[in-house]
Amino acid sequence: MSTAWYRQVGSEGDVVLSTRVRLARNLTGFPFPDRMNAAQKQDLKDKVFAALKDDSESLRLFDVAALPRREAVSLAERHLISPAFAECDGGSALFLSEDEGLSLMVNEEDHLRLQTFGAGLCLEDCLARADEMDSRLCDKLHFAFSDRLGYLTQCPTNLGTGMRASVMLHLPALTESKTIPLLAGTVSKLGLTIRGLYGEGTRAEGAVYQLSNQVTLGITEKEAVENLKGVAMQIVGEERRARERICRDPAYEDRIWRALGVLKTARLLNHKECMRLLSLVQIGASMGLLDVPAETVTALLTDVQPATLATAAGKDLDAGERDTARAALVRERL
Amino acid sequence: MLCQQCKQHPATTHIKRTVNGKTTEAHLCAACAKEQGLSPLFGGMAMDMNNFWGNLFSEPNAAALRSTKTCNGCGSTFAEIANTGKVGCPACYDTFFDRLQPTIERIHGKAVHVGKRPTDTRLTVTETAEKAPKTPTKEEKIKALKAQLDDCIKAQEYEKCAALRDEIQALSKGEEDAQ
Ligand SMILES: [Zn+2]
Ligand SMILES: [Zn+2]
Repeated sequence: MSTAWYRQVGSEGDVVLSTRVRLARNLTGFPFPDRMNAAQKQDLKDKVFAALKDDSESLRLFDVAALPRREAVSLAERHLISPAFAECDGGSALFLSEDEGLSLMVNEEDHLRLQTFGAGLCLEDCLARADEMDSRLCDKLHFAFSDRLGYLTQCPTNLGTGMRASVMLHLPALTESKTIPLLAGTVSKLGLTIRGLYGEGTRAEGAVYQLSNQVTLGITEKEAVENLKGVAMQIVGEERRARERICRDPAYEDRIWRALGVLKTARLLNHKECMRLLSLVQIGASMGLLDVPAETVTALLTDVQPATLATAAGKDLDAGERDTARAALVRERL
Repeated sequence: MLCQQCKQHPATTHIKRTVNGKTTEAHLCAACAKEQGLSPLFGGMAMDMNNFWGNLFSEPNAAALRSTKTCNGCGSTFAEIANTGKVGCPACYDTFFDRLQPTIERIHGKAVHVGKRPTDTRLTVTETAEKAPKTPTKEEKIKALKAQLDDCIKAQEYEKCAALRDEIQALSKGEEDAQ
C-alpha cells in the first residue's frame, strides 16, 4: 500500500487533511498557452525536459493525454493535477515526483504550474520545496517577470508571486451548524477564499473545503502563507469546539454510529452517500467515539473517488459497478 | 426584450457595468454584442468575468476596445484580451499596461510586487511607465563590479581582476572623499 501524502494524517490532521502550494511561471519568448500552436507547445516542453534533466527531484514524465481517461481523472481526484489538465490534449505534460509530493504541469493555464503537497498542515514545508524547485528551474529557464507586476501570468489574478497556497479542511461540525457562509464572508476580507471541494457550487460533499490565498500581488510568499496558516488555525479551533458541542447531542452521536454501521455492511454505496457517511465516521474517529484509525478514513476519502476506483480495478466501471466496488472497498478497510 | 442598439433582434447579452459605484445595465443582441467585441465574455463564465472585467466598459476603455494596436509579442489586440479574459503573452503586460492596470488594481489593490524575484535579472520586463533610465548609485556600481570580480576570480582571468580591483578602489575612495 502506497503511503503518499493523501493517505497520511499530518499535523492538525483531525481537521486539516492536506496542504498544497502552487507556483505559476511562464517563459519569455512564448505566448501564453491559450495562444500557443502545437509547435510552440512542443518547443516549450523540450526546454522544460532539458531543464529537468539531472534534477535532484528525479521527476517522472507522464503523458496525460495518452493515459486511459480513468487514470488521468484519478490524478485529478488525488489533486495532483487540475481537473482541466486531466482533459488536456497532446500539447501538455506532467512531471511527478516519486513520493507524489511534487508535480509540474507544463502548458496548463500557464506554461508551468509547480505544485507541492503534504499531509495535514505543512505550509512552510510545501513552500520550501516549491521554492527550491522553482530556483533550480529559474537557473535554466527564462521566466517572464516584471519589477512591478512580479511573475507574469496568463490571468491577471495570479500576477505577483504566482503563488496559490491552500489547505484542505474537513469541517463537518461547522457545516452542520451552517457557519460556512459566515466564514466565507470573513475570510474574504482577509484576502482568502474558501470553497467546497467535492460537489457543485457551494454544496460541499463530505464537508471538505479548500481555503486559499486570493491576493498574489503586494504580498510576499511568506506573508501569504503565514496569513493563511493563522486563519486556518482559527478555523481548526472553531471546528473542534463545534465538534465537542455537536457530539454532546445524542441524536448526532447516533448518526455517527449509524454511519459506521452502514459503511461496514452496505453492498452498494454511491459517491454522495459514501462521502457523507465517511465524514461522520471521521468526526467519530477524531472525537475518540469510534475505534477507527484516522488514516483509514483519510485514505478512503481519496480511494472511493470514481476514477480512482476504476484505476484500482484496472478497467472502466459503470455507475452500478462503481457503487458495488466502493461498498466492497469500504467494508474491507473498516 | 429587444436589443437596445439595433432595436430589431431579441437581447441575449446583458451587460452590467459599474463605474464609480454607479451600476448601469445594457441589453444587446448577439450580433451587436459581437460588434462591440463583447460576446464571448458573456457566455459560459459570464457572471464572474463580467464582474472581473467590469472596468473595461468605462469610457476610456470603450475606445481601447476599438483600438487596433497589437502586441509585438503575440499579435493580440486589447479587444481580444478583454474578450477572453486571458492575456496574450508576457509582453502584453507592457503593450497594454495602462489598460490592464484598472483590472489589476481591482483584483490586487494598488500593489507592486514584493515577493520572490528570478535570480537572473537580465530577464526582467519593465512597463512603459517605468522606462525612464535610472543611473546606478555608486554603491550599486561597486556591487556590480564586485560581482564581476568574483566571476573573473572563478574564471582565473587575473588581468581583468586587477583592472576591476583598481576600478572598485577608485570608486570606494571617491566615496570616502565625499564623506
Ligand atoms: Zn442588436
Ligand atoms: Zn502579447
